[in-house]
Amino acid sequence: MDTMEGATEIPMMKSPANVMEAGPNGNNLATAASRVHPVDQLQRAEAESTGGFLDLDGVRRLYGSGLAMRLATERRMASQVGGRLPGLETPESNAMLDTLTGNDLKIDFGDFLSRNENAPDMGVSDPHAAMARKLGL
Amino acid sequence: MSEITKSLNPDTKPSGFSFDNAHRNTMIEQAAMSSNAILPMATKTGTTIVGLVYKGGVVLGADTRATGGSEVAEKNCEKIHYMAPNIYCCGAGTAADTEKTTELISSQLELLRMNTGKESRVVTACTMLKRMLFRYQGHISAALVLGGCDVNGPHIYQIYPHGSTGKLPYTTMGSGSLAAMSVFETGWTEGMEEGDAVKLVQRSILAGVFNDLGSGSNCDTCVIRTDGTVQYTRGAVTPNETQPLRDAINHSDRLNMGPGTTVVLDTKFTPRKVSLEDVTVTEMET
Repeated sequence: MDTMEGATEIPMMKSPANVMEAGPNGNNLATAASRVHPVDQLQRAEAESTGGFLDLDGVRRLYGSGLAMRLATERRMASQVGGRLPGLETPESNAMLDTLTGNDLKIDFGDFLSRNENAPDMGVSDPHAAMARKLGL
Repeated sequence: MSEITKSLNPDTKPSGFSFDNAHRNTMIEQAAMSSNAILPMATKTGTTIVGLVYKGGVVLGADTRATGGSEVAEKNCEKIHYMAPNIYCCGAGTAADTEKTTELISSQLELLRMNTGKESRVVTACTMLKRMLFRYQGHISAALVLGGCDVNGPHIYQIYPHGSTGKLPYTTMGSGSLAAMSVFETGWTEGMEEGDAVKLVQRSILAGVFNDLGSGSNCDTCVIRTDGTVQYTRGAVTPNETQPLRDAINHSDRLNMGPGTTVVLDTKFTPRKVSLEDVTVTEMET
């Protein structure tokens, strides 16, 4: 759902273009349109979906809306538990969320390629902004 | 990602394949097309890989040449990869893709073995591979011959880069597949003995080695038997030995100069003196 809305919203300049990071022609609309790789889109869409593990609509039809609500609440609570501040050195362990989504039984390219903790970025840009993003403000 | 079109924050960047260089790569391709420059090519295994089922198990075979464009990148690479104690997989296509794909599926099979406590089945490995390859829509260029023995007997599967599979009694893949398949079609019968099966696999790989430019060097074979034993022979047949050719080159003895060739007439050693009196300390003024 989020990607659909993102695709139709008017492009807005949210911050000045970082020429050092993206290059002189790295941040305009022309290059953004040309650099889309189909596998990149697949990866992003997959990262945002539940992975097919929780078909809430199917559960609602078969077992009733009560169970569907319970499962969705359980998953939301699992992603909020832990309480670590965002952007710090130690990442969240996500043990409960991994068990619910089945991630503890799977290993995929995302588990060893391009991990966020191995990225050569400069680290947390702004802890206040990171916390605001986490709370959805 | 562009900050104008999407405010993708660094915390939610998906891990996995990184496409930061996708724009640069398209620019390089366009520039190379206009100026006829030579693009760097990923190392491929233009290959001959084969697999067949015999009376007591399966035999897998592969050549050992890896090419990068028109040059030989590796004369003795390993194309038969381990997946499980009872399952091995030959890979053709981009060398890195086959290597990493088989390693990933091998890890997934190990996780599943830990979870279920049972021996892995060949059809499980096949299903995991085809799901992954289809998910990446053929961009992972890995053509595989998967073979092994499980509770249901010996199996050979062929898996194409886009995710289609076939279960067959004998199969060949790679650029030398036609040469190898001609040998199989003439020689394969149902219920062969192990000696005959291994000889047939070696002949088919040699057919690929000698008739296809993308395949060469030696032949590796892997025998997986229904009783659980595995025999992986690296360099089962080596018809392309380079050592006799290298030995035949005449190197002049004057190029081999060991220590003592030049006579030492005189030795003089002068140590460099560093005394602390030469160091002056100047206080920094803030």
